[in-house]
Amino acid sequence: MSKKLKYIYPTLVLLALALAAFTLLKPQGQNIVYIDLPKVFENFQMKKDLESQLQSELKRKTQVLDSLKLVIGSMPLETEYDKKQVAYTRNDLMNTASSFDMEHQDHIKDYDNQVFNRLNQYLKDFAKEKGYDFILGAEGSGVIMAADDGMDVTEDVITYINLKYSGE
Amino acid sequence: MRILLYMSGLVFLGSLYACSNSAGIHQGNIPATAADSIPLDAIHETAEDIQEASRNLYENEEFVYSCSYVPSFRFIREQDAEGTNLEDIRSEYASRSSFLLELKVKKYHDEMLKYGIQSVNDYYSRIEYYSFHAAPDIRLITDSDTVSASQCHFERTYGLAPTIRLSVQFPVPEEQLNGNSAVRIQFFDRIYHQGIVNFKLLPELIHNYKVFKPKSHETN
Repeated sequence: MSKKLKYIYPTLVLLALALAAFTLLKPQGQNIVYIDLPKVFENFQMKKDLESQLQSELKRKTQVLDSLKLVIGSMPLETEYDKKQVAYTRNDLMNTASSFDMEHQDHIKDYDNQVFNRLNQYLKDFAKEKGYDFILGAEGSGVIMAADDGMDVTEDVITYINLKYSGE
Repeated sequence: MRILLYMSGLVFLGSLYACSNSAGIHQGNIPATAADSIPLDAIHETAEDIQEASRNLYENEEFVYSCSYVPSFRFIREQDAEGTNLEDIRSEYASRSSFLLELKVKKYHDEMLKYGIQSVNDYYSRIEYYSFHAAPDIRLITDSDTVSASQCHFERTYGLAPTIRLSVQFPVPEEQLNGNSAVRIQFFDRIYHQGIVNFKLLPELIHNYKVFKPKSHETN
């Protein structure tokens, strides 16, 4: 009996050491998921809201330009002075149109940046909350050639970012 | 003798219970006249409690934006409280709903209007925007409607505070905010380019304006 005990203790110690070594040295499984980036972008409510904001801005600008065109159309063209006045107003219209266009392009860029910044912020929060190490963005450009559907968290992300955006 | 002792004990316990119930916001109507002598401080204190409880935050690495509901009785002033009908004054303000919007930059202790400006003109155009043009960029969203702010008061701080404070009013009576699943304030940040920020405020808190009784009223 005592001879058996003599072997049991070292065996237990060895087993404990092996278990500890296994726990410490085993490769850590990394939690990787992916999202369909264009789909997330398209379904982000902030993007839709900014788009409608942009549309209403464009509508207001078009109204200004239309009024200017109307003014030009109703101007008399009898004397040289009248013709000069029409030319000035037409010039004014061209300048206004071009500045509106530049402003519009700037706003498109600015709003896109705002959407991407917010999206990045929410995605960081999402990864932190769900414990993901990596969220890859599949965008059809060949960065991710194939992936298991189980790793696709696009729908979860869309729900999450829209909830966050609405102030929840 | 023993019965008397028991009875006095019960009375003592009853009074203790009544005192404990008088603390905090609870059911009861705002007294109709100043003769009820609610201390104005207590009214404001309760209003501030409700305002603080309703506060909703949006923050990122750079900015902190917050929005809170301001109950109508927060606007009752000292001169109003003397010999006038408080409920009349409150109902005058209750025909609109009021909110406070605060913007702040993290780790920046100077005047927020100066944050990221390129020239003095930028500074003054920001003042002009917040003073005169910000109202259409702030909206109140309820279950049935979206309304732009009718008034937006920008509190000038002249470099003394690192925040931007906007007192916003909407042409929607406070009472109409009840019964909504949520009340949302939407702010479109044109100056600091943070896009659209939504704040969700709980209608239960907004409902409290009708049923408050200042905590110090019963104890005084």
